[in-house]
Amino acid sequence: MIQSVTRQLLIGSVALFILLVLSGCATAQADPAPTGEAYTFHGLQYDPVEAAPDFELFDHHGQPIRLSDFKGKLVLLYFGFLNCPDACPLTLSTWSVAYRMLTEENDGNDLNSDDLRFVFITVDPERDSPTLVRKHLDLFNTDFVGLWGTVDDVEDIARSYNVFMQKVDSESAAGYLVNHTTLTFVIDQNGQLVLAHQTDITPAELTADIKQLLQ
Amino acid sequence: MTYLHKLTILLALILLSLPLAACGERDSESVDENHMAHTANHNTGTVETATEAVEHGNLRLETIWSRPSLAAGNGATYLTITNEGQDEDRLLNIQTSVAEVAEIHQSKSENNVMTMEMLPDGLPLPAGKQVALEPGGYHIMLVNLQQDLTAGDSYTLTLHLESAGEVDVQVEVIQQ
Repeated sequence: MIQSVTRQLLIGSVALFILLVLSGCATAQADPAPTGEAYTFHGLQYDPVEAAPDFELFDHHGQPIRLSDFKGKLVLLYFGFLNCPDACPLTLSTWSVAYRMLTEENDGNDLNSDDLRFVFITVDPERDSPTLVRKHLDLFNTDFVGLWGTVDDVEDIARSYNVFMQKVDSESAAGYLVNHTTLTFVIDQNGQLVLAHQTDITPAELTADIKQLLQ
Repeated sequence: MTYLHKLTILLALILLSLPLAACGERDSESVDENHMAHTANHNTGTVETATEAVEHGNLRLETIWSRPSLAAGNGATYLTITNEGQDEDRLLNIQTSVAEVAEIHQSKSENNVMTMEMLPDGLPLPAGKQVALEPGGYHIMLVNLQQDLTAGDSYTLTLHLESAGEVDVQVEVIQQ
């Protein structure tokens, strides 16, 4: 279904794209909202919001962790894998810089304990052990949550978020790669999916969205 | 999600990606237009390296960096190469003692699905153009790191170029 939808949308998008180009590229670039005006979130907004599918996975201690354990906190959720040295660290790095910016603005106080969780789920559980996931995330921020599950469980969860993941053979000495959706899902304090951020979001934009949602 | 929601999100995705592709020249910019090459990263802010640009024949190599990475895992090296000459050159392959193998890869994002491909024939460096290896695009993939790459460290990379020959560069490990 998605494919046929995409085809229809492509046709519509091309027409709209031409309009955008004609109206000038500058208008298509996102600008920070001037003060006094309504805040504009970055990325894609869920309208209306919808309940984030709950799941249970495991941390590096083997402790079961459910998404619903984080109710009352803002959750950023990303599906990635460790043998992905380029795209996945891009998001983790953006998170890391944003987290540092938020902590600095909070007089150096940790935001993570009360308000915020950054959650990474490996889409390559066969190669990424829970311990390796932990070590990898520690390169960016020791507060980031790393979750692991069986291939079947992770596939089910990915599907519930419309996340595409597919193992592909490669000529690389690194072995197979996993093509995957690189959206970050933003889940509010009530467990509702509100935003999906793309990899090109800047730390400043991410920080602004988080502050707005934590207000 | 209902059909209509999917439609809305997909349309938004496509619309968001198209103007970016049209307005931003990510992979190659003409030398004349861009001589200030110290911003290697459009996505996560600016990367500033301490080392100066390396001039090698007609090539200028700069902003050469890696993220911190773990031994036995994989890593990536980024740099900007400007071909100031009249003829195309090509980055053929790379060697470094910090990894078992170094390969040239390209990440591509389509409908927010990221795919990575190896470029077995190397990376073309058109005459008069700047090619940026940067997060989310071209990069050198370091397979099976032989040591941790720790912020503040540096390591040597040997680049083999079709015309310009061989050149050693220092890569800075930078924590963003």
